[in-house]
Amino acid sequence: MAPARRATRDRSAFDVGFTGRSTLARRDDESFVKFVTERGTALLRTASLLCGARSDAEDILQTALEKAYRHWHKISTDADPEPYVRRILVNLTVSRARRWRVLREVHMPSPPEVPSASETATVELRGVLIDELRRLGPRQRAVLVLRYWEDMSEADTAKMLGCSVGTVKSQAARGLARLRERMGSSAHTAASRG
Amino acid sequence: MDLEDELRQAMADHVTELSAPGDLAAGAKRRHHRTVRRRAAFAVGAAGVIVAAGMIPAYNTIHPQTVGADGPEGRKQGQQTTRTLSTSPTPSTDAPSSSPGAGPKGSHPAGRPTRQSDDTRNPGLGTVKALLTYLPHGLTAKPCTTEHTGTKDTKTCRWSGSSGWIEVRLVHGKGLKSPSDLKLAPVVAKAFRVHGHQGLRADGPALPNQIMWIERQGLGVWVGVSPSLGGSMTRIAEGVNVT
Repeated sequence: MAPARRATRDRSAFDVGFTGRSTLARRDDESFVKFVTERGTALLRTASLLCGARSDAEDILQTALEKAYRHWHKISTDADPEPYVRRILVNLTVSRARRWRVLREVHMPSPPEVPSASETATVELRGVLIDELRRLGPRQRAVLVLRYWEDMSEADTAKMLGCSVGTVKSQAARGLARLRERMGSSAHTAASRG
Repeated sequence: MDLEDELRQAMADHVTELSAPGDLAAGAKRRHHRTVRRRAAFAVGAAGVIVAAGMIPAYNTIHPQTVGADGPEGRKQGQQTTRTLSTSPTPSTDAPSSSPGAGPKGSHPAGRPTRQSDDTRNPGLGTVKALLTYLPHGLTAKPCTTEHTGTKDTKTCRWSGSSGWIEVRLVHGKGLKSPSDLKLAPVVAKAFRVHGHQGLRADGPALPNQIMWIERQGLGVWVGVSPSLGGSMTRIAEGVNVT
């Protein structure tokens, strides 16, 4: 996607906050540092869930913050910049996942699960759930992360991803169904092992 | 617990240890400044290339002498050459002291040595830079004529005056290899060496004195003079300059 179009898409969910060339008060460097200090961890966690690996998450978050910093002075002091940054983050993750689709296996965050004596089957199943989440497509994963980690509504998620509410619903349902299906087989395997 | 809650819990467990590094904001700002610098450098480079690309033709327009081997001087020389070359043979230079005495005072600068030029635009006859380097006094040039006969092109230039006449024919044809190929030699012609080439010469009161030779393959030269100029014929023929 062209940078100009992407920038427009990044802004569209946050149009209200952009001052453009208006005379509204603008944000400064200090507010940027403050914002990152306060919300950096939450954004890093979202990035980690979106892309699957901590190293990638930090890199993507830095890129997103750099993009946000580029237009930081245009954001009104009255508006919350977090949705804008989060949207950049989601778009970057989806774009990068598409670009690196071929290399997805290389960027797996951890080696394949080795059967181990976990304390409880629940913990093991949660690990499997995260692994299965990583294996979903980038958009489907983004829908699940925004809906169930960020607790965003379907409308907000649709706005964030630039798609319709129906698409969010269908993507979430398909993602959950896929997880359920895989979880079922994993649970069956774990049960047979245990 | 349903799957949604399980997913929430799994995600919370997965990211609970994560915390943002302290230099996140500084890193983002550093990356931004680096990007700006890189873009600026690229823009400056691109602008330099564009300016250079625009300056070269502009510079060449202002200083045309730097473009080719011909500078302004060369160009002037070329213009002079073009002016010198005309369709009518015009005497010019060479051997002024060797010219015979006074000639008729006509419109032509008679008595001066001649340097004959001719039209170079006739592709069939090659380049004729200065046809005659020696022209006796009293002769003036007539316009050259070109004749096409079969596979041959013949350019004829003539000088005439009170002292006699000179005629030079430049014959261009693919099959010209020896003087006899010109089909101009009389039966009584004898072998003669002219211009370093083997030629034919005929002298006699019944026919005009004439010399012919092949300057190069495909280009033959025939020089004829009136009986009154027979004594100068060798010099006239040697003075024919064909390139």
